[in-house]
Amino acid sequence: MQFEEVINDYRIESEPTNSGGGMCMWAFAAKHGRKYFIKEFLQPKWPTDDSMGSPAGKELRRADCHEFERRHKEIIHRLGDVTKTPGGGNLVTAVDFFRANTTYYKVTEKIVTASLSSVSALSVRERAVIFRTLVLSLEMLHRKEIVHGDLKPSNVLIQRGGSGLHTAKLIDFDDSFLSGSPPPKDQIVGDSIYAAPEWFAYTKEGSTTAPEALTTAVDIFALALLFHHYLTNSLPDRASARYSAPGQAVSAGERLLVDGRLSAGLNRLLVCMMAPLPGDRPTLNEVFAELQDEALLANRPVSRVRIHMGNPEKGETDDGDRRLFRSLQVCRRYSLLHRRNRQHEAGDQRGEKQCTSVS
Amino acid sequence: MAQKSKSISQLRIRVIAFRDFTDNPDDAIEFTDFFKLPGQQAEFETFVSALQADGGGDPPESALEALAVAIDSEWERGLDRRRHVVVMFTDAAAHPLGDASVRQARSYPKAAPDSIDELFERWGYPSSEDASMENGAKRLLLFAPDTRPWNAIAADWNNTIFLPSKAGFGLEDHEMEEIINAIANSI
Repeated sequence: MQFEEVINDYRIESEPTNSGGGMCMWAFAAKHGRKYFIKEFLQPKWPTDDSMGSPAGKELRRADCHEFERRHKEIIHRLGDVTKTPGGGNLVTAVDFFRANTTYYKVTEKIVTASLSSVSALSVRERAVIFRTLVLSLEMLHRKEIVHGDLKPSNVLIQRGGSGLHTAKLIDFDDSFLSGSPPPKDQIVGDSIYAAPEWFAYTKEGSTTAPEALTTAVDIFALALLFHHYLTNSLPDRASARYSAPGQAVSAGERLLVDGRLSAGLNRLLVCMMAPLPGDRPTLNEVFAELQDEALLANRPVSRVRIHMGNPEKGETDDGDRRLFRSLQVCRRYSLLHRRNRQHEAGDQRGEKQCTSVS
Repeated sequence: MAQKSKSISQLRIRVIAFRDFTDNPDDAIEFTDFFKLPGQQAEFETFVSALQADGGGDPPESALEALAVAIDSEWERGLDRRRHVVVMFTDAAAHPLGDASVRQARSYPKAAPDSIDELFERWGYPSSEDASMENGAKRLLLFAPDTRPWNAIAADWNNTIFLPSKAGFGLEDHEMEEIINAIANSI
């Protein structure tokens, strides 16, 4: 893809770049007077008759391509159903997916990409509206068993609408997959900074982690990091500098530091959403129910809270770990929904005991 | 990297400098083992500072041999997250592989393939069983003119970012910031 090149009637109108693109190049394009955002996938590459490689290798490569096409078309089909339902307008999905010569492309409408990267300056009410909108959009995906797979600030567009209210639009489903059925470990993509511990376990060389381990719960983990980032302008800290990604740190049993300015209730919710084991994380319905309590999103002026996630693969536990794992089990078993009907103060106190150990 | 909230726990770099085996086989290629940075930064700088961007005669150059040496590097294995990044900087086309006359040169890479098809197989693809490179980790950043073999490589090789330069004008149409940005985004 090059500037001014025409690909399937899309005229490339900007210098293609890899900036923020991971495994793709992207550019702006125009077709029949409409503006688009076009992505070129770096893999797989369809072998033409003139392509390099042996005939046997070309057959294997074409099989790779057929599987890639099947995955993307399935996601596009399911997303098509979702966008027709109420609220589906907050999902910015592909309008075209095609191969030109050796290379695959995906096209979406060009949208204004200016977005709030932090909501900490907004009122608690506005924060709640944005968070709930985002959770509802994601829940529409999960209902169709679609994992977004690359939740991060740049893939959520928070904009002020004509009514003065902010909206959250979810974009970039190029790395989406069906729950329990991710791409092969050497082809899965997504920003590692927001990746869940099981994503790291799956992609690690020599790993025996099955693809079934990657479910909609990877989005729950990423959503917790996203919430934390929105409210504090940072991700939860790790106890050591060894791991740049929170999920990688959790996978290795490292400590996470949840910002203590967050309310006790939100602290507890985030800890549950970032649980080492996917099954211990709440569902989006449960998260949504929690967010009905807007007091959760009010900050408090206290220091950070240290939690030790432990390494579930190694069965690592100490007193703090045991307390935490017990609390996570409590989170799951009793469900976050139960707390909704309890008094806030009592609920917050109990939540802190259940889900965090304070150092 | 910090701006992208990413960090590197271990950085290894090797340099493969090339000219043209058909022009002067005695100084057509020179390369290092991997330097571990920042510990071996001084050795790295010494090698790079000694390089002279001249010679090679007319284009094309022996870039595919250099690319083969890069692909055959002893890449790190076993880390949680690995990126094996090959960056090709050239302002010229490349001689085809398999010229028996240049294979006689003392410094010619003995393991260099005989054809670009063979080189492609070493680069590999998702279901490849004979690749030298690890599919999930590998990236090729190609700062080269829009001519063969580079545009053909860009079309056929996966995980490859092609940023065309104009032959004869070096890399002046690529700001260094863009180059660093492209590298950082692939990691």
